[in-house]
Amino acid sequence: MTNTGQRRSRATPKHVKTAERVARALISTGGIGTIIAVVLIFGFLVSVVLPLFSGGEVSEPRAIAVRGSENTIRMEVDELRLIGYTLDRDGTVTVFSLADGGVLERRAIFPDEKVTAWSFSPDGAQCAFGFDDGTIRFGTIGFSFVFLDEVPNELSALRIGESKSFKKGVVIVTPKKQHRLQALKVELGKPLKAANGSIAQIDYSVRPDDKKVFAITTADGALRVIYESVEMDMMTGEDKVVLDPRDIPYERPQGRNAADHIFVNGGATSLVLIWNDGFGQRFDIRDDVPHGAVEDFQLTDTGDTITAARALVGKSTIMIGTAQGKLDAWFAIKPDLVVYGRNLTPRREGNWKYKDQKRFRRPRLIPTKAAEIDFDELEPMPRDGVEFVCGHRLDPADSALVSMSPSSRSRMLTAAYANGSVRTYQVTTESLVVETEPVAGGVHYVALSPKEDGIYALSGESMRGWNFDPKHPEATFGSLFGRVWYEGYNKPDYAWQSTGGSSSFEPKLSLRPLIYGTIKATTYSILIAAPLALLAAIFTSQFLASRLRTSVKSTIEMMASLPSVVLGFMAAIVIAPYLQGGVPIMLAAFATIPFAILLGARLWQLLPTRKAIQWGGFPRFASISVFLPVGLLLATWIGPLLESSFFGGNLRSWLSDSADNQADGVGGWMLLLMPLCLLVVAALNVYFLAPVVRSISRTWTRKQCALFDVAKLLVQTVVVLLLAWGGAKMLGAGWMEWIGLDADPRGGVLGSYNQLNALVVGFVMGFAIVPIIYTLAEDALSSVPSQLREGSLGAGATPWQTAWRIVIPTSMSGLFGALMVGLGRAVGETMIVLMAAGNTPVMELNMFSGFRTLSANIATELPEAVQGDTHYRALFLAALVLFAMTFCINIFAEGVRRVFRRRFADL
Amino acid sequence: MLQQKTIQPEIDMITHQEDRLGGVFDAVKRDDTFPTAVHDALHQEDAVIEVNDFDLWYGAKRALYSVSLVVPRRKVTALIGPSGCGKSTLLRSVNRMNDLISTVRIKGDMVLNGDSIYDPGTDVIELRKRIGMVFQKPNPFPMSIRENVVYSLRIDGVRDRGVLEEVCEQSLRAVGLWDEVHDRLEDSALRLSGGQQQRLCIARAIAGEPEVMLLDEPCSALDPIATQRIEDLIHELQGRYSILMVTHNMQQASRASDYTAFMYLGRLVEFGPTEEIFLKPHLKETEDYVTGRFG
Repeated sequence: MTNTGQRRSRATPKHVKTAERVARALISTGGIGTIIAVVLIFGFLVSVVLPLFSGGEVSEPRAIAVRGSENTIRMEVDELRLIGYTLDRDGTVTVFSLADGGVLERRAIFPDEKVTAWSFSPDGAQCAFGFDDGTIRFGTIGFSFVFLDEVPNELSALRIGESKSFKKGVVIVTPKKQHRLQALKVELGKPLKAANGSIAQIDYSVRPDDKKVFAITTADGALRVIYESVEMDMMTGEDKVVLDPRDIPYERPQGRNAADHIFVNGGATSLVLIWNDGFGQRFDIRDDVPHGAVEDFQLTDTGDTITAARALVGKSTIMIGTAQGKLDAWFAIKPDLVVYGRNLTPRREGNWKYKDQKRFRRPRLIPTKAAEIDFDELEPMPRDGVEFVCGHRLDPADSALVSMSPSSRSRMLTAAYANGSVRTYQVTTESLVVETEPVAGGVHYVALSPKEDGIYALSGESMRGWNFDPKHPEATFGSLFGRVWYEGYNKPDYAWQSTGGSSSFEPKLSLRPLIYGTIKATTYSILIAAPLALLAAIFTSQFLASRLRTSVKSTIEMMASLPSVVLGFMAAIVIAPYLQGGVPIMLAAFATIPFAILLGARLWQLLPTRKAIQWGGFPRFASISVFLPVGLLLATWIGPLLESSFFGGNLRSWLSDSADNQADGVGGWMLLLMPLCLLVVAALNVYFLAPVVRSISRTWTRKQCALFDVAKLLVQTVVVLLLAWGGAKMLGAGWMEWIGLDADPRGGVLGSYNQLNALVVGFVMGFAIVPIIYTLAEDALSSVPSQLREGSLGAGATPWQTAWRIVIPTSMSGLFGALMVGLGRAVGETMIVLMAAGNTPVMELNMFSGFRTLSANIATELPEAVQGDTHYRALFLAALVLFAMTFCINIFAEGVRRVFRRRFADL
Repeated sequence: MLQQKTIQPEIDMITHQEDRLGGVFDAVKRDDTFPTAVHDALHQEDAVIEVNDFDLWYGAKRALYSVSLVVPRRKVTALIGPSGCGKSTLLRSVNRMNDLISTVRIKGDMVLNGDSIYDPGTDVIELRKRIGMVFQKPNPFPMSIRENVVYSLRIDGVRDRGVLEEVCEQSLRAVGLWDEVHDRLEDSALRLSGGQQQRLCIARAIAGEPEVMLLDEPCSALDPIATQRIEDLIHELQGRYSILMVTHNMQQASRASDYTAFMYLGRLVEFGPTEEIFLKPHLKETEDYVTGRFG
């Protein structure tokens, strides 16, 4: 019996079932696929990053039948590790095959001369020799190759990659089936007369203008700097090398023989003499007119003696190896702890530094207040403003260091010890990359191959060779996240600088400045976006009529559709230059715009009740747009006023602490104290003033109340200003100097002004994340059950009381979520910071300085990074850190949201 | 046009009964107002609220047709009538909750103890402080029981602990909740049962010392036992508070109220002492409704 005469089929039709199954399959694949994709991305990042932390590897040693002796002054292998040569003290060069140790060539390169001094550049095959007759010769001893045009029969059986000794070299078949003959090439310049006596030590360096600068000591104790220049001979048309020797006015220290080592630094600005007992002297050779020693130092601990000294690539760092097995890196720094005469009373002109801070100490900062300086602890800076300090001490061995071989391309160094052990270090990170089994019979000379892929140790009996893979020695946990004392830096520091111009450049891969920049960008943008977005959301959801609400909401949401590259472009091209012209006005606007709007609200209350209620809708809303420009106008008036009265007329010169702006720190402290004073005054108002006012104002008319409110606002503003001014006077003008309270506000959040700075990024990125925070917060506020709102309003609460006491607490989880989503967006945002943050990886609190974020760094550098090398992996680590940061933010946000949600679960 | 369409079916439904009924349906058909049948007993009552020729529109739709009504002081007045007759609208007009809906337009006025409610110079916040309201669904705020009760004092800025304690206890005692919750005043109010929550809401309204209380179907979301307790409570409050109550439930109206007003399609049809309305109404329409012949 049916109603309609139709019978409903009970069986589910087949196509419905199929659709159900397909939908189920699609949805679960999609869901699981997403999870798998995220895990895979994470796994991929980790797999690229992990090799960074694996240590170097070295193979089992291979014996090569080559003998060395104590007379060996040089051993080198070629970049393909086919042949090597040794150079003996008597000028004999022996070329041998690394495959079997067979001697390919032996010849004397100085048949008629006696070598007394030699110097080899760490980054190439160039060398300089000094002879007993006072001449010097410059030249190259290195490897060269030729491709054989005709393949001799004996080599025709070679296959790709195989090699065989041939004539004076070794032939290898390249992947293109060419026969490449690797051989030694010796080119020596003509002997040039440099001194009258025998030359004891020689070193040279090249100045930025490409002139060579030689430094020699002679057996009779003279120290001489020789500037080499090339002139064309007018008669023959040939280039002619002209030497211009200048004696350094120098007396050998009492009781000392000739120095044992001489170094001219890269760029030839200073010269260092070192004696084997550890004593050293440095000379300033920047000018053509030489000066005497500018500083003396002791390079070793007492009782220790130097057994080897070599310069690292770039010739800025000198490695000192000692009999006790210690290995230290010394380099010159330009300390920024210089005290200028103008800060001191009584005036002591000149630059000063702490004494005795050469060894393993961070340079100390000299206090800026003259009263706190103890001049007994100080000594004048060397005249060139440079100080020679010990920056690194490598893991010491328990036997004397015998020989060192710096890498020609990085800050790696292989060292051999008397007990036969061979260690390879990364100097900057102070890490021991590998240590080999001790070589029986001790080592005379050690060499690191040019491509850092082999280590060769020459002993009296034979030569040992190891295949070597340093992996990523520049990257340690410490160097990626901690402070590292880079060559030329004043102190251990966080630095990111992945590429540089010169061949001796050292990559600096600390992620800290980038993490700092990311946090800074996020902080400033959230500081600007959060109040705006949340207040806007509260305003539209609680105070605005629903008709206006929808249009306001969709307008703000439209802001989100602006591509961030456009915002970044606007920030860099329009906003930053504009703000630069009006920093004081902008700072003043932070105070005057809220003030103007508050004043407007107070004045509104002065309207007759009837009018106020009648105009409560759109006219009131529109009046806000009247007081906004009033606030701006006020700022254009107050900003310059502030600038002239507190900042010596120029805020930017005050910020950069330039010498011609003598204004004290009062203005800066006022800026910083203002928000604090505002909070104090607000709290006083709420807790003490408000109850009193409430009890006495019961009998007042509406007009009286409104007038009182206007007066209160003005008085409060004055009180805030006075409080801030008083506090600033105490801190910045030396009023409290007697209890040691005297500080300069610069150096913290205030500092010298850059056009592209954190505030600009804060404004623009804030603008970019306002819509997302606003939308989510508005939704959260609107989703509070209407009966709660009605209940509160019905009890006589004002809309603001309802919002503050009921709606906001109830929607807290949503509001928090909105903030966190905004934060996540800000952390990962790339284009705006790329274009508007200046991209300098500095770590400064200063709101007027730029920075570089993880995301911008990845975007700029990944395209140029070589796949698989340290830089590339470090960038992936940056990505992983970024991933971890957003992940943590999300986890934290979810946790907090759960807490809030549980609290209101019964709603 | 719109209003014609929406009421057309009802008119069709009732026209065939036209011969037995009075003028209400006529008025509905003409889209006109209807003179309320007011019983004599009301003339002796002191009015806490007077509603004078009150009209209300939701956009183009008219919801109240020239309603005039007197809410007697310290008595319980029940508004009854079928769904959509405007009971709740009328109730929510008293404390201007309808202001929250931007499309609402009104004509006419109401007077609360001599003060106009709809005068442009009336401060709505002040007005609402004089009127307590209890809603259909219990709506305790997501805070502690204590804070819920003293909410109206909190928003007035009262900080005196003694006063707050006193008001909290008195209000909770008045709704019979004190014995049940006095040892867990700091607990979240959301953990109470539905009936307790509604009594808490009544306590919250009482704490504000209102001049009149509006109950908007206070039992419609409750189970029978909780309903019984609320009705008993209303009974207890009778004589102490002026109460205007909307109810769907005719037994409730007959049990708990002193006066009953019958509304139909936006018109106030008949208004008199509850007994008279239920036992000997002046109009046939009222009789039909209270005896369940339509509605």
